[in-house]
Amino acid sequence: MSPKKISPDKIDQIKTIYSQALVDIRKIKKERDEKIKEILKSIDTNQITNILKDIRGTK
Amino acid sequence: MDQEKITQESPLEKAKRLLAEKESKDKEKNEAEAQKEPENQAKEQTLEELNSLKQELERQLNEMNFNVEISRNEAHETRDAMRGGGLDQSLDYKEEYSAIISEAADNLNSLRQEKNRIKAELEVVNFNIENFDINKNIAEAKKDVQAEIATVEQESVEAINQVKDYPGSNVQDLEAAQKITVDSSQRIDQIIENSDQAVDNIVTEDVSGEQKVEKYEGPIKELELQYRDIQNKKKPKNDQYNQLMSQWTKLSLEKNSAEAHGDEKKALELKGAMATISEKKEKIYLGEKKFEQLKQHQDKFKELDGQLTAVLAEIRSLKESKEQGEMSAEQYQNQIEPLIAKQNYLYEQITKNNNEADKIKNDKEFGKEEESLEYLDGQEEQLINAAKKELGYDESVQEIATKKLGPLGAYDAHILMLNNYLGLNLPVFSQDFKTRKLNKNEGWDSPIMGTHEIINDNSPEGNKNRDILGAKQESVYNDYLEKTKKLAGLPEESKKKLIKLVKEDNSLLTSALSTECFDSFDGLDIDGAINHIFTAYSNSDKQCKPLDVKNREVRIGDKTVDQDTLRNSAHYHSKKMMFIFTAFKIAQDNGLIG
Repeated sequence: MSPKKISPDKIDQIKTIYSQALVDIRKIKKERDEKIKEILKSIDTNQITNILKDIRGTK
Repeated sequence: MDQEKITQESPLEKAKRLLAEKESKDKEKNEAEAQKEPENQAKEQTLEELNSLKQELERQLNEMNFNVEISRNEAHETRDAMRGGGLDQSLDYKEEYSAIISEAADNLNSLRQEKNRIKAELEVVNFNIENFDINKNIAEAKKDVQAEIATVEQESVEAINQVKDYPGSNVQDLEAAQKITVDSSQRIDQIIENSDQAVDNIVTEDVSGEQKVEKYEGPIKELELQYRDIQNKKKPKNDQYNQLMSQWTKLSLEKNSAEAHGDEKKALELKGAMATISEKKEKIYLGEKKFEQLKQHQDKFKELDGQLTAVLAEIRSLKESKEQGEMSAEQYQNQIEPLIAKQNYLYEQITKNNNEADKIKNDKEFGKEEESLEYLDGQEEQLINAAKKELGYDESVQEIATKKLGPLGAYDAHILMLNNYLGLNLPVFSQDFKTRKLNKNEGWDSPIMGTHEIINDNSPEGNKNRDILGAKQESVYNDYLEKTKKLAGLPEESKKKLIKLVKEDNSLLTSALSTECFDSFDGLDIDGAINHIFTAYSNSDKQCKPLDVKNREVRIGDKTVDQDTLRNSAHYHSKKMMFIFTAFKIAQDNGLIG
């Protein structure tokens, strides 16, 4: 019974695949962060709008 | 230091500078080596552990080989001793004889399964040793990805909390943030799945390349190739014969149903149609030449039988005349003598004719003609014997297969080999083979009939057998369910790859199982058979558990069926199950399933 051997020259291909995966994951991460920032911004905007409404209302 | 300063250096200054440079390089080198040291140590230690595990497994394998050999010899000795004492022929001891043979075969089988398990484990260890550096590199390459995933997950939790705690945020904001993080996670999962699959494909390319060379080692390999050649040559005849067999079976079922409903006219018509098909079958089975020879004998028998009936009638009438005093003793004697002589002559001719017909049927050379349908010829017998030798089955099993039970002999070999290759102990067949004596009239479906006997046996022994068989069946069935589920859940790419592999697979099992159980019965080609792999899970209940031994139910799906239907159905569905097992093994061997 002889074991099956993986050819060593495949390792570069494998490294490339995982490097690409890393790049893709970071891209998704960046997109996620931007979307979260958008939510925070919109919360701020809503807050300010409400405060302004309040101020106008009290005047 | 710039070029101008170097050229202005004194020799002593140059020497000092070079020494300082060397010292700095040596320091860097030593530091790098010191950093690598624990890594090397860890590698050495892991390799050492793997090697010692390998040695231990090799030792266990040797021991197991030895035990199998001993068990096999003991089984043979047991059988020979019992046979020597005539236990196998004695009505009083026949059952016990079978039970002891069965027990010996069971022991041997358990040892072989354990041996296969150790062999498989050793193969994994060898694989890990051989690919240690590669595996390490793959793990290293994946490490950054895994670290990044962990960071993303952590940040996602933090992002949700940030939105939740942000002054002025509401439920909608929180839901939107959750949706964003879930969406990101799903996209990342997909990236990982695709990357792993791509890496698997790269690794599998190499592995499968090597496997093609080393698959099916041993004495059976060459015989398998020869066997396949024979099968390919015989295929058209086989197909034709199987088609007729299928038609005959359907008519037989219809006839039984007509009889059960009291429709005698229809039953008679169907019987006639069955006879016509039987004749066609016989013609294929015997070959044109032998069929014609046999037919001549049958015609001659009809003619001689007619003449004999006439002579016997004359003798009877003569005796009556004499008893009624219509003729003298002398007259009677003169007339009866030639009739008796003719009667004896006809008896002699009929016996001779029948013996010649039997000789044609039983001629050992029969079936070896080119145009005849050969189920077992020299090479196939060798194949079966080699398979059995490898399996260590007892002589009684060999007897069954070598008695030329039509396609059953060939099926026996497939099943036994399949069990061996896959480390299975498929109960419907193996149990029957070990306990049942077959005679040539029982035909190709005898193993299923054997199971029926177990179902219908109300003795304590029968109950015990049913429990054992039921448990085995349940375990194989659960295994089957798990495997079909995994196959059905394969990604599309893997499915495509598996289809290709199954089609290209040169093993006897795949070709035999796919053509014999799908082509002949369902009219499906190999694509149909492969399609069954991926649809089997959803159909598993109704298709593949036709025989519930433990609950003593004989059914297909939710319907209780008669024995003939079951016999046909169980026979083929069991083979479909085996086809799935084979496909699963191929998927596993090629890294499509972990």
